[in-house]
Amino acid sequence: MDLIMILQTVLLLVLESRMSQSQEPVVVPPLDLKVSNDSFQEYLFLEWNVSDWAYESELKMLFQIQVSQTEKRNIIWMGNYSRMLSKSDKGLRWNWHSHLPLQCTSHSVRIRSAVDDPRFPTNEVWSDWTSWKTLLGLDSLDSEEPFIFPKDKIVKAGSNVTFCCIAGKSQSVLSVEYKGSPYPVSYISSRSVKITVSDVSLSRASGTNVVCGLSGRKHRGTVLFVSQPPEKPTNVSCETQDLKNLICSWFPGETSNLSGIRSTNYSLYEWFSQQRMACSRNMCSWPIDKNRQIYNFTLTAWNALGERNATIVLDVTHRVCPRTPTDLLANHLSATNVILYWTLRSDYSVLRLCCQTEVIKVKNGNVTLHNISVKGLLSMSHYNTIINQLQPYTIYSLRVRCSASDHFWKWSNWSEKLSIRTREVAPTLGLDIWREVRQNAENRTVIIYWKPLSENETKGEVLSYHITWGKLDDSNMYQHLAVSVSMNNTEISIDGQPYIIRVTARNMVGTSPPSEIRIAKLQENDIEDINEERVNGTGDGIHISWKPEMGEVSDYIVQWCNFPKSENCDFQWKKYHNNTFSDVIKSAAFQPGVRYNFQVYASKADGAHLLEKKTGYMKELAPAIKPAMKVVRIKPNSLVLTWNNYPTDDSQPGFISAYYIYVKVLQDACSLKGAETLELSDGSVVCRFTIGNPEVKSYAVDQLKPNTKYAFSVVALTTGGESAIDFSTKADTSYDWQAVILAIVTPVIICLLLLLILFLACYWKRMWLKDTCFPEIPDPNKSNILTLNELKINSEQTILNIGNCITSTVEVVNISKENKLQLCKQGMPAFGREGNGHAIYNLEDQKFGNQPTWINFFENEKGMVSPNPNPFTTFENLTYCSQLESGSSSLLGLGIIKTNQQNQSKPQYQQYPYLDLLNKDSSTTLPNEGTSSAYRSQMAVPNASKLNDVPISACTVECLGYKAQTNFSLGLLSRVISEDNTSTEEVNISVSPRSTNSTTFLLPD
Amino acid sequence: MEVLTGKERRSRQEFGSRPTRLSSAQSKEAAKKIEQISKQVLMLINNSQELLQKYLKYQGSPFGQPDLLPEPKKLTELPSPDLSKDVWLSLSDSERLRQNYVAYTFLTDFLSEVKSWQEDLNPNASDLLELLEKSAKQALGLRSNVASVMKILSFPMPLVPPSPALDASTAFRKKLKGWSVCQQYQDWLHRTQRDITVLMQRYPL
Repeated sequence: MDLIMILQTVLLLVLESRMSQSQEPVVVPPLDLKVSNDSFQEYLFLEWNVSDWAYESELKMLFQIQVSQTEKRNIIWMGNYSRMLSKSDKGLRWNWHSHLPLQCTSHSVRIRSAVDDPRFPTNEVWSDWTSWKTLLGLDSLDSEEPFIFPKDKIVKAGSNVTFCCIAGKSQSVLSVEYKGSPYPVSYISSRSVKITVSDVSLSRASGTNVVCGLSGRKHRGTVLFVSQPPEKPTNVSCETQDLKNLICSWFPGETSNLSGIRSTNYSLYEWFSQQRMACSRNMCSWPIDKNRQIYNFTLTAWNALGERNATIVLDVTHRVCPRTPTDLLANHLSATNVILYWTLRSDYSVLRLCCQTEVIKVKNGNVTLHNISVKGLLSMSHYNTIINQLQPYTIYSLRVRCSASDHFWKWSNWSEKLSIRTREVAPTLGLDIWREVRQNAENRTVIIYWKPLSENETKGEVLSYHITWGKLDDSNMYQHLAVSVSMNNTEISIDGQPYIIRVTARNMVGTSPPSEIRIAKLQENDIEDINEERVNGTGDGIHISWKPEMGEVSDYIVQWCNFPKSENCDFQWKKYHNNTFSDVIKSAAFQPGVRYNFQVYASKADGAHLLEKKTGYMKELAPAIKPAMKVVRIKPNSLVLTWNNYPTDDSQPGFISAYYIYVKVLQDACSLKGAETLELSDGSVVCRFTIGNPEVKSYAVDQLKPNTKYAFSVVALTTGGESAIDFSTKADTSYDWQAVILAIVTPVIICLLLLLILFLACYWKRMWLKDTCFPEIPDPNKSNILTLNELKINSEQTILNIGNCITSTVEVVNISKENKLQLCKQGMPAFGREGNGHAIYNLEDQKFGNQPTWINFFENEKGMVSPNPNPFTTFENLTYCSQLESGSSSLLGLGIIKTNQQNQSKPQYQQYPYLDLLNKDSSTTLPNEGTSSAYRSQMAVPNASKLNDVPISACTVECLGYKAQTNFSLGLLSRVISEDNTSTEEVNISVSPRSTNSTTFLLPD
Repeated sequence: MEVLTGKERRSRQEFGSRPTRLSSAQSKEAAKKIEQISKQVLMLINNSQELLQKYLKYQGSPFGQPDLLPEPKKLTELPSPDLSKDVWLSLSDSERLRQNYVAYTFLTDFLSEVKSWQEDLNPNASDLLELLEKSAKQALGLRSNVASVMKILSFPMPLVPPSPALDASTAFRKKLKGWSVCQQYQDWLHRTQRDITVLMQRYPL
């Protein structure tokens, strides 16, 4: 062998020396080129060789490769491949990946080489190409069958995929559709076309269909599956329950969109044993080798597109989660202890276990945990533990779980629960007893009550109660009575002597300590003097307090009934130590609005004695019943309300503390003296009276208004509120006739008295009054100025001497407003017609020329002549008018104008256009306008110089002397006028300017 | 006068012709069974229509779009339900029932095979998978009823060879084959309906 090596080396050296000497390029052509493909028809595999010399020389060589498609050998790829040849690895291989499925068309390969070795620097001369080596495509087959490729290819999402469709010999490709959509085709050869789909998206599990339509209604289809490489498994964890198999689990990530053979696969590889195991998607079971504790796993997730790995190294003894304990059994059961047994169905003898026992007291759910450490046992061996401190005759629920003690990993699942009941013992506590003593004649009936022991106290199931009683001073004569367990009281009869009573409870094991009560010697009327006191509720109970009792008191007892109104009142009691004097009595049976009665007893050596009686409510409520009210004794100003039948006893839901009386005035606001005024929710304002004493059940409401409708409501008041306000009771106060009569009679009497006083005063001052109101008028007949006899006797003297003639002139004037105005302005009369067609007639004495008219008469529609009605009787002069309106005497209408003064203004003159008694020369002056109503003696001589300016109508009497006014009538005047006028009308108006009867004449209305 | 074709004659020779001596009880029982099959077939035709629609729905485009993809070829592995009118009319009762029996034997297996393919392609299409399973059971039930009629009529039970494997190497072929199976299951039900109508006339209640 060594000889051969030496020869080769020598040969090589010779060759090299020759080549270097000759400088000829060294060519090492590729030999024996072979081409094949992979099963998926995606790769071209090339294999070739070179001469042995090249291998022996370990030349570095460069190969150039060309790949062509179709039978026409269109070169589609060319590349170089460099390789250092090796003696030990002969043969050259190379592959090429084709995007187009190799079946789609023929693929040919050729290769050439060059020595690229530094030992031969002048080389780099390519050898000749090898001949083409061809893999025939299906388009070159002489077949009628069409094809489509690739088939069932799995690609990564986002890839570009090329499909080809090969038509049969006499066919043509019409279309290629991807996902139902046609794609543009490009021809590879005459029978083969391709489409390229870019960026493919995830497909459904059944893949995406690609269908090639061919002539002759032929189709070929394939399916493309698009997915993603698998996700890396996370949270890989292994544990064992039985120390035989490791269960490894992990989170596999999102489920692949593909399924079946294309879905992601998982396998577990153990490096020490170099074993691999197929797994499900999220767990794997690996058998544990007894001789090995350490395991190094690699979990691989893989699919057609790639793989991801996760590793875990573990010691199986640190990953033990024991199996669920089974077959629980309780043994050696006593009243307070039990031994609990269980098994584990695996061999844990190599471990030490920690087991936890859960003890649940079923009645109240109290949970106690006990931990024990035990050596692991063979499969199905019995583990046990003692559970102490249990209560007698109590139901418990037990269960167990275990874990590895040295290297805690996880607790096992809890076992199923085992229910046990501990054994009984005799009751350790005496009964709580009390009594009720009823006296009848000389005997007494004692009802003994006891409270059943609680389950904690009974220590078992009570079977019966036993009562023993006898006289206190005679212990030999005790009587005995057994009572069923369902009873909580019994009745015995005793005489008036002091007695002692004992009660015990008995269960299967024994009896309770006796409870003793003593009945004092009969004492009559010992409870008569105790008054009942009210106590307050606290909302959830009733506060009771009592005074300490003198003497030696063993304890205090408060007794009551939970249902005081019921026949079975549910008698209750509560005992207190002798230094306790108050408590809040609470009971689930207490109801708001129910009055409870309590008796407080002091227990002494000879028995119990009643100390105090209490009554009260847990919570007072507002009275539910409204007081039934009646209204009595209705008067104009008052009435009485009564509600005598309203109860104030324990039928009420609270202590009645007061009454409110609401008074409402219908359709008005109430305001009574002494009452509060309130506004109710309906907006009405009412009065409220308060009666503080609940036993006063009537009330007199006074200061009411007569003949008024009132509504009343009486409500009872407790600390819980007041009963409902109800104004259904209404009453009307009566009519107050006395007040009415008094209101009328009193002013009448006062008026009468005033009149009487006035009359008396007038009578007393009658003279003065007469002088003031009715001064004496001189009688002209009695005047000696004019003597008719002288006229008659001496006719020559019929003409009145002007110096002695005193005239009295009366002019009755009724003029229209216009005339009056004109008169006022000009002192001249006016003629005209005015209003309603009434003619104005001016009685004008022609003798007076243009003197004013003084009397106007109006003709009404009937042609009657009447004095001008009021509307036409107007006076411009206010002074004059005021005189009229003031109701002055008719004399006031007679203007007596002082015209003797030359400087008298015209308006002043015009104020009195109707009647002037003027004497221009007269020195007699009228006092003023205000006194114009006063009488002026006709004896006064007017101013003669003015006399001509004064209208005088009664000139017939001029200078004839004074005529009695009572006789001076208009008739006369009329006649005088008619004598001068053609009018024959006669106006019968009486005129008496100086008479009280002449008002009508002076001021015609 | 019954005219028999050569095939009918051979069939009668092979499986025996209509039993000439049937008791009235047998006739009545056969009639009852035939009527029961008639009702059963009616129900299965409805189910097969639903199966076909649901199957196409899950295969993706262009399945279910008749313009894009023509109906698949008939299964060569299954006796064809389509016969010429003359041939079909000339079938003896025995041969008629035998063909039904063979067809539903194969269809039971084919429907199960299609279900296994769809479990791979459409694992989440639980309704389709349930319907395929149900149809396979119904086909088996129908075959059983046909067999019971044949027994009542004393026709010999045919020896049915194992069902041929369905040739479907690729996913697309499986989809197409499945379609064919569903389609031909429906075609066979219609054929059975016609066959049962003939038998009901021959064996009236």
